[in-house]
Amino acid sequence: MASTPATTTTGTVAHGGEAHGGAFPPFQSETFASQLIWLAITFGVLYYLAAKIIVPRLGAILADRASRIGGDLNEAAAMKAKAEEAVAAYEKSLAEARAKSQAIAQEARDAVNAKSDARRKAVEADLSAKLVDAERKIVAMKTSAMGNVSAIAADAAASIVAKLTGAAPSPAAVEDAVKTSIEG
Amino acid sequence: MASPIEQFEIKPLIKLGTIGKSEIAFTNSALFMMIAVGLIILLFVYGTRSRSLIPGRIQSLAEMGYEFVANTVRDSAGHDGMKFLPLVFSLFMFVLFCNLLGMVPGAFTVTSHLIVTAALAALVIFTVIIYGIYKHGAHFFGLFVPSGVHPLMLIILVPIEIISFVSRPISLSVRLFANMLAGHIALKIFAGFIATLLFAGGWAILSPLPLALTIALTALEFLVAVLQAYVFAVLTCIYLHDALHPGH
Amino acid sequence: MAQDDSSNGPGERKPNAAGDADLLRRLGSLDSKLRDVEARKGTVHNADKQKPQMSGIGQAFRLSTEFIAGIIVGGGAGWALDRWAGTRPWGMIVLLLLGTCAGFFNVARAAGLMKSRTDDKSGAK
Repeated sequence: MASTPATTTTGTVAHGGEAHGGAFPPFQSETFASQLIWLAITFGVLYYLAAKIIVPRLGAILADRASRIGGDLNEAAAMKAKAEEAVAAYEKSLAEARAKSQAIAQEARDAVNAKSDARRKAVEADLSAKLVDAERKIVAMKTSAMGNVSAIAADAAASIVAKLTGAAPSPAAVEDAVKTSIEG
Repeated sequence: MASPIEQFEIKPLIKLGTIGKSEIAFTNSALFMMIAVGLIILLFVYGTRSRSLIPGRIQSLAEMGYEFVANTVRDSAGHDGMKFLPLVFSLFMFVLFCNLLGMVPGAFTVTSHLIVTAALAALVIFTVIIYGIYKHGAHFFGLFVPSGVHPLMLIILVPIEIISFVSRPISLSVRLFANMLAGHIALKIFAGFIATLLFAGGWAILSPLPLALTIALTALEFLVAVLQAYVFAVLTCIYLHDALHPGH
Repeated sequence: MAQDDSSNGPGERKPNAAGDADLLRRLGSLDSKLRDVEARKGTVHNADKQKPQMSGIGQAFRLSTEFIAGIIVGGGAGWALDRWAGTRPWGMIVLLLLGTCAGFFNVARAAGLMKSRTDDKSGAK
């Protein structure tokens, strides 16, 4: 590639240092070989180090961190699941306990009711027995009282008749009369 | 005013001998290539020595650089493209560090020489071609034949596609070379204006203007240095993607 | 008579309303944090298997040279063809023209105005 003439700005003095006095350095072909060789050397070293050390090491660092974070996240999720499970189990047992306590209360209530029922029935039976007894006694008293009543009435009638008529009636006639008036 | 071209001269520092017509020496270009590679090794090998789970500042920096390149390669080429990671990584870091080193006052910008950028671009394109042929055989040349096209059109289209393909390394190298060259020339010229104005008597009052311009231009040049490395790396990945999955 | 239930699962403790509320709150926040991480992982995995996206400025830099590179290659190939096959000036003219078209196509493909060669194949392999 032929070197092009100097492209200097106006009013500048060309400082010739190279063989072509003020030529354009990027197009000076005699420098090409040197630059290419050194570029090959330095870039080759860089590529070798990058491939053997830098890329593997940095890749490993980032992969380690990602797996660590991933592991931690998974653990967090597992812990969360366990915590939720525990909450669910707790609430379930709470509900169970509540249900059980209600059942127990219900049982107790039923027992008490049964007992009071039984007692009531016993008392009722007792009372009705006593009632029957009392009725019997009343009937007995009544009959005996009624018996007395006819005797007293016969007495009273006899004395009344005696007083009224001056003659004492026969006891049989008085008895008859009392009996008819009571019955009729 | 000093010539803005002077800064690109290859100066031999230690003469080593001759190969044919060219004189081989340890030049300023070689020196800065070695400094760049040295810094890269310092950052990535020495900085990650401890491999700690919770990275310090330098290891963090190294990890960020690595992850950027690794993600770009993985996104474009998938997992079988990861074998190109050392190449893309080396390219990106080399270009980045050479560009940034050039911003140091008085330093030499390795990538401002067309031969250097052309060599790197040639490396990329030959990797693409050789790997493409190795992996897909003649089917790789299907890259140049668009599908569903009338045969008569192919006579025009295939040369266009070939030219398009060959223009890739050209654009890759010229882009980097031209940006670095133009940037440094502009910096030198505007900085020269400051001195010129300062020594021109009454005009000295205007000298803050080129100063401000030079400061802004320096900031821009830093951005361009990083961006050019980024574009070089991304395009390399895109071209590798074509080698791995040629169309049709 | 209420009996203390001993089947409380791991860790027996007496039922304590304030402690329960605190634990349930922490369980809820752990749940939402885990879900966030899952969502973020999902979006990262979906942006896969396409050509790498370049930033806007990157695209601009790319386009800046795509056109010229086509012309340069066309011109260079034309000039070389002329030197080799002596077809001045037709080799140069034709290949320069083709190079301009190639440059054009380069820009169109890079800007996404035209489908690039491997666009439909991305992710298929």
